[in-house]
Amino acid sequence: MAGRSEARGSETPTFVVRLWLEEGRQSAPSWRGRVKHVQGDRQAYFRTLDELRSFVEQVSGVVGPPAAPAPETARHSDEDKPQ
Amino acid sequence: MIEPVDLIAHASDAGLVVDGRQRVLAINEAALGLLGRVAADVVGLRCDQLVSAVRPDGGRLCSARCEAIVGFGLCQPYTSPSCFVQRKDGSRLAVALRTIAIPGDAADLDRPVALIFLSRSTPDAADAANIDPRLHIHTLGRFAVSLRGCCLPLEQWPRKQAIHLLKLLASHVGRPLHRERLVEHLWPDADPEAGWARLKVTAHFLRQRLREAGLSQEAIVTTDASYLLRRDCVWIDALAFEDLVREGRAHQDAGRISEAINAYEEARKLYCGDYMEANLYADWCAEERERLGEVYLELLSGLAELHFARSEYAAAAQTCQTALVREPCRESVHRRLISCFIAMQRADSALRQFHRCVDILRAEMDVAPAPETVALIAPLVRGKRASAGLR
Repeated sequence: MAGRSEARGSETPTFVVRLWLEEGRQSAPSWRGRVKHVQGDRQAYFRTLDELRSFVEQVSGVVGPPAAPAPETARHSDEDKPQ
Repeated sequence: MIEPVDLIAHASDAGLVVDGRQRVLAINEAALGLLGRVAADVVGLRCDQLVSAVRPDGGRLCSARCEAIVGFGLCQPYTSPSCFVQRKDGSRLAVALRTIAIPGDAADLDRPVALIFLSRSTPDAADAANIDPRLHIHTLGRFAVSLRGCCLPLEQWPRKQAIHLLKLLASHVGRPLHRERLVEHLWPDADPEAGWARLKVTAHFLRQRLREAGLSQEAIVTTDASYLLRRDCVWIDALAFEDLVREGRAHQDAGRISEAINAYEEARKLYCGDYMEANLYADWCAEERERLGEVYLELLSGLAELHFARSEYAAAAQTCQTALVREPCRESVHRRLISCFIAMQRADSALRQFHRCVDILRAEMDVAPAPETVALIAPLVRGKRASAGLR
């Protein structure tokens, strides 16, 4: 009854990412997350996209392209704010 | 004095004896026959696992947190004149459930607390009219399908792909699924022509089985090159679960605490396990499983908050612990649990929980707890130091 993605060892790995915001009155809110490899039993918690990326690369065995630099508009958005 | 076990042995009706932990202590031959069991099957089972009773509307009567058991401890009997119990072969029987509560110490969970009698009944016309005529699809936990309280014997279906087809359609209820996508899921190695032919045969088999089970309407319709499961023909536990959580949240936002707790508790009863749990390694349901898992965590978090607001700290703590078993890295839930222990004046438990929180956050995310988490236990630490004579 197993479909292509039913069994372990499927050729295309699938990852499900869950994100949540930890909020507190005395600290800035921060994103935290959990990434899970669907076809296996491995999962990891992360706080940054680099940690997420590292897990995906480790499980899939595929090293992705280097992280793109942040877009100009985003990088300068703080500087552009009126003082 | 006659022992409860002897009473059961000499009863004309099917009967069993249970303790305060819902464990079956004794069962008579009539009950074994009615449930299609042998005595060896029953040893160690809880009564909810053995009887698995559902109400005529398909809602669960038996659960791991049975309210009737609590009532038995307080010597309150329980009756359900019309319900369905599950036999070992998966079929369901209409029964009347009656009980005798056995007086005794309410705190002693290991003593026999009740005799439960099951007598076969035929739902009368009024009951039959009230029975939901829709197909009930249970996707949270073990996949099951029932109609008017009777489980369809899916494990006996010779075409297993029909079950998979029904799961796929249920996961897209009310939305058409193109036949190519269905074929890709069901027979990934088949060429399109052969796949479509198999799909037709499987869909025909599924429709036939649903008709034979008594479904009066055509629940699966074909539109163009797609198949669709009609929303008006089915009740799906996952949808009902989300509706109840939404209802609970609306009550909570409006400050109606009792109504919110009721709605959340009803939703909690429906969450019998993760979505399509038998398909753990399948990607077609992984996203929905995670999404519903998150809704369940929200529910637990809301419920804990409400219990805390009503000063029901033990209930709030238990809810937080359930949430942390599922998701041990939620710092806000750790904080709520620590607050519960502090409110219950269990300083040691609060400190232990804080250290668990610190350890898990460090191990999994290499992060220190937030200042408000530390602030919660600061007075306790100061108190401990003061009592130890330290500065």
